[in-house]
Amino acid sequence: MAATLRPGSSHIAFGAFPNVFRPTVIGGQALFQCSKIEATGSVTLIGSQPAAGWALGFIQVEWVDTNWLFYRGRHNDHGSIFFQRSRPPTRPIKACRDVKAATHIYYEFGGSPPTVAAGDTFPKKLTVHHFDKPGDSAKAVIRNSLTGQDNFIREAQLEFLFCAVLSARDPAGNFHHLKSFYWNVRWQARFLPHDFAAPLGGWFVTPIAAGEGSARSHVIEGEPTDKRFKDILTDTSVSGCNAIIPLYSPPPDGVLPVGNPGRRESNVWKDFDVRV
Amino acid sequence: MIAGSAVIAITLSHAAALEAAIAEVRNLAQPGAFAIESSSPSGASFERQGRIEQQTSGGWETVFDEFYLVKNCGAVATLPACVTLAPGAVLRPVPWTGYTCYGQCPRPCKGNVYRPPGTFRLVLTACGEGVRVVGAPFFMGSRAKQ
Repeated sequence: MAATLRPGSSHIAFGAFPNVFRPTVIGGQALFQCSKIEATGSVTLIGSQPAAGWALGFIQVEWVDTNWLFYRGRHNDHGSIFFQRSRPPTRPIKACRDVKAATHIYYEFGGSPPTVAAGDTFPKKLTVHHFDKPGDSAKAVIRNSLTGQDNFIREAQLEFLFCAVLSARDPAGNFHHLKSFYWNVRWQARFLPHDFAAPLGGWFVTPIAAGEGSARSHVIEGEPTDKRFKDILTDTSVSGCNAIIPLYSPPPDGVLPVGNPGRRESNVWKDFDVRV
Repeated sequence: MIAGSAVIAITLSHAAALEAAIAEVRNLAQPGAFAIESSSPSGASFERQGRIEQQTSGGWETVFDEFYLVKNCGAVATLPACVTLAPGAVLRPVPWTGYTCYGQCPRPCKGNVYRPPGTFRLVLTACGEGVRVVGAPFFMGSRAKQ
C-alpha cells in the first residue's frame, strides 16, 4: 500500500495578520509597506513506503493588482504625469504566481518544501510555514518631459490581492490542493511636500480611508474553484509576480521612460482616467 | 583526471590569490552589515551589485542578488557598472536586512521572505577578470520583525 493523504488531516493555522502602514516619503522615495503575514500549513500521510517524494507547500497567486501613480507640478503649467503600472504592457497578465522562477510552483520560504524521505515511517506529518511582506516604492519627484519641470507625487493607489493555497505534491508530481485563504493589502493616499524646493525633506501624507486597509479570509476547504486564477496554480508558462515587476518599475530608478504606454504626460494639470 | 584536477587546483589557487590581493570583506557587529576594504595598491573595482548566499544542505544558495555597493540608497540610480575603491578605502554599504526582495534599498515586492535564521555570506565580483571575493560566513538569527 502506498502512502496517501489522511482525509481531513490538513490544517492552516494563522499567525501574524498583515497591517498596512501609512505611506511615507523618505529619501526621495514614496514607500508603501505593510507588516508580515504568517501561516502554518500541515497534513498527515498514512500508508507505507515507497512514498519518498511527497511534499507540502503553499502556492500563492496575486490575482488582482491595482497600481497607479499621479504626479503634478507646483503650478498648472508645470504639467502632470500619470503612471499606469497594472495594465498591459506594464502588467501583461492579470494573475501571476508568486515564485522565484516561473518553473517553480511552490512559494519559497526558507528553502525546499518539507518532503517524505525513503526512511520515514507512517503516519507522517508534513508542516510548512508561509510568510510574506509585500510592498512597493516610487520616486517622489519626476521631471515632466513636456514642460521640463519637476512633478511631485500627488496621489497613488496600490492594491495587491492574493490567494494562498496549501497543496501537497505526490511522488508522480500531481498537486492536491487542500485548503486556501485570500488576503490583501491596499494603500491609497495623497501627497504634498512641505516645501517644493526641498522634496528630500518632509511630506504631508493623507491616506484615503476607503482605499487603505488589509484583509484575510477564513480558511476555505478543498481545491480552489475561482476561475480568476485556478488555472495558473501549476501552470509553469505563467511569469512569476516578482519577475514582471521590472515591466512597471524598470532599473535603475523604477521610472517608466517617456514613450512607454504606461506613462502619460500633460503640459498642464490633468485628470487622468485611472481605469485604463 | 589528475591533470584536470591540477588545472582546477591551479585555477582556484590563482583566483584565491587574486581575491586576497584585491579586497577584504569584513562582517560588522550587526549581521548583514559589511566593511569592504581594498587591499590592492592599485585599488579594487567591483560589479555594482553583489549577492547574499545562504548555506544550505545543498551548498551555498543565492537568496538576495541586489546587494548594491552604496552607502545610501539614493545613490543606486546613478551607480556605475563598476564601483572602484581607492587603495586602502573602506566602503560600508547599506546593510542587508535579511529579506529576499526588499533586502537593502526600497523596491517593489510581491513575494518578500525573511530568510534567517541561518548562515550567510556576501559575494562580490571584481570587474575585469571576474574574480569572486567571498566574505566570511555570518549568522543572522530570527528576530522580532514587523
